[in-house]
Amino acid sequence: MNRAIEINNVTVRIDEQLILDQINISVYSNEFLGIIGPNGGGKTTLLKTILGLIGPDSGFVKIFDDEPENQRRNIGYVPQYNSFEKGYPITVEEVVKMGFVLDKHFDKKKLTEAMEKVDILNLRDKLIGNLSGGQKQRVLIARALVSDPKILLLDEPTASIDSKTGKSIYELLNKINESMTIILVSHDIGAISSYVKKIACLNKTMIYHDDKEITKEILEKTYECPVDLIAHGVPHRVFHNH
Amino acid sequence: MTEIFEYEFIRNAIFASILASIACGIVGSFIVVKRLTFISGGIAHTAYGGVGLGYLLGINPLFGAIFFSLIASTGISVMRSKKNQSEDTLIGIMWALGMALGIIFISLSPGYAPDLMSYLFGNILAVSLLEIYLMIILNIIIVAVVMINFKKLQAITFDEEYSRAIGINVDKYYFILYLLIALTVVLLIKVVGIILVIALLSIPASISLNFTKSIGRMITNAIFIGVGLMLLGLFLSYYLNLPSGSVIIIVSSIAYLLIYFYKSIEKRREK
Ligand SMILES: Nc1ncnc2c1ncn2[C@@H]1O[C@H](COP(=O)(O)OP(=O)(O)OP(=O)(O)O)[C@@H](O)[C@H]1O
Ligand SMILES: [Mg+2]
Repeated sequence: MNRAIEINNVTVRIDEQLILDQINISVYSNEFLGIIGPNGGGKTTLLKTILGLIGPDSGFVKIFDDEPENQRRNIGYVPQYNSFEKGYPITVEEVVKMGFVLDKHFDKKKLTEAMEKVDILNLRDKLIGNLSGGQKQRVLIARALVSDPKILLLDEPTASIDSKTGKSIYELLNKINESMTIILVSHDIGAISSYVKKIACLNKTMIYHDDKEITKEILEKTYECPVDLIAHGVPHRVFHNH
Repeated sequence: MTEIFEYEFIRNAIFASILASIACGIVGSFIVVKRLTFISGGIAHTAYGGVGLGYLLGINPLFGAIFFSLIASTGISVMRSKKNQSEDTLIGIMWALGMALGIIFISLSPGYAPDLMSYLFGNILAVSLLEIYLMIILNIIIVAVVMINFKKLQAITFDEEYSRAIGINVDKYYFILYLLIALTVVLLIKVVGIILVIALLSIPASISLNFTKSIGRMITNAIFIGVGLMLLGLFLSYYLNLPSGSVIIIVSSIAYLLIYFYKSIEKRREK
């Protein structure tokens, strides 16, 4: 199998503080990795390291055996928070088009397809600032998809989305996973467990299995708190019975 | 009414208004959407140091102003890329320091600086042909740079984090934007003066923002709004015999407030 992402012994410090401690994981083409972990566990930091926005203090990240900086065109990214200027005069369609900003030409068909996929075609002429939180999130997913990346990184894309849209987004991700490698950060263990192929728990250090089996102990260790709260409502097939 | 067009200084003033409005519409739109008014004020006031230096060295003060404002925008770019936490304070210091240096340079200059006030408050009726040519050159640079880099400038001012993530050199394009602000400030000094530059950079673009769904449209509308406001101010100041820069700013401010109230009434009615 073709290795899409290699994270080798990556340690990241921010302001002397240890944020990521010797992370090792490889993600192969068409894998779907879910990352869970507590607030401040380093999930966003890990995604930014994969994008090459944060340089590791030791260890290295390779994307298709290349430096992350050279591979950004192959990575689609949906940031955790809407980082854009809310009052900016720009329509939904133009925001999605921004996914092509580094390309010479833009593909009108792909643009329409991407908007169709996340069901925002009817919003295309609206100002981005006038959308609801979930609608904005869908626009950002379309923007990440539009340039046909080989890898898609999503940082809690369903945080402000209703459960019906959330489900349709997960189903969409499942479908595009046939042609794309996906890393998804989410607190929604239930959703993660029913859609992703591999789960990793991140809290400074990373624990993962090559399948979806995650033990209660692992969850307790990453979250450093009893998991009964967290595991509530999770389909049991994720957990071993002890 | 038509006889005033026969004076060369009036014709120069009209040219200057149009040229200033083009730069203001383009650069001012980016300033307004990204709320860079304070930074622009810092660059403008630092330029006063250059005006003083020009007097001291006996060269055209506008060249001194270009020099100082380019240094100021470079300094701000460096602070930005280093994510300096005290950026705000440092810009404030630069702002005051530029003014202080200007005043000292002028007091050291031999003789008397007769048109000093025009650099502070502008005198569009005193714009010379040489300065019109300078404004044309600066405008050509601004228009060309923005047209070439438009998509990237739009991306970084709309969503900086995403732009960085997809590999746009965000710091480079902000540097370009700050240099454009510096050039625009210089271009405006003769028209409204350093103290009033901020108003012309922000008012036409802010008015335009109310009626548009794209930054391209915002820019073209802002240019027309700017021309309208400046010509109206110019003729009022001519007939009322009042300082042109101040009248232009007052006219612009009133226009902005009227639109602001109109918009808020309209919004209330929609509810
Ligand atoms: N720019 C920064 N400056 C200082 N500390 C930072 C910075 N970015 C992240 N950190 C620290 O790194 C740690 C990990 O942050 P990160 O955003 O990666 O967590 P996360 O797992 O994404 O959390 P959440 O679930 O809240 O999104 C936190 O302790 C945070 O304080
Ligand atoms: Mg996060």
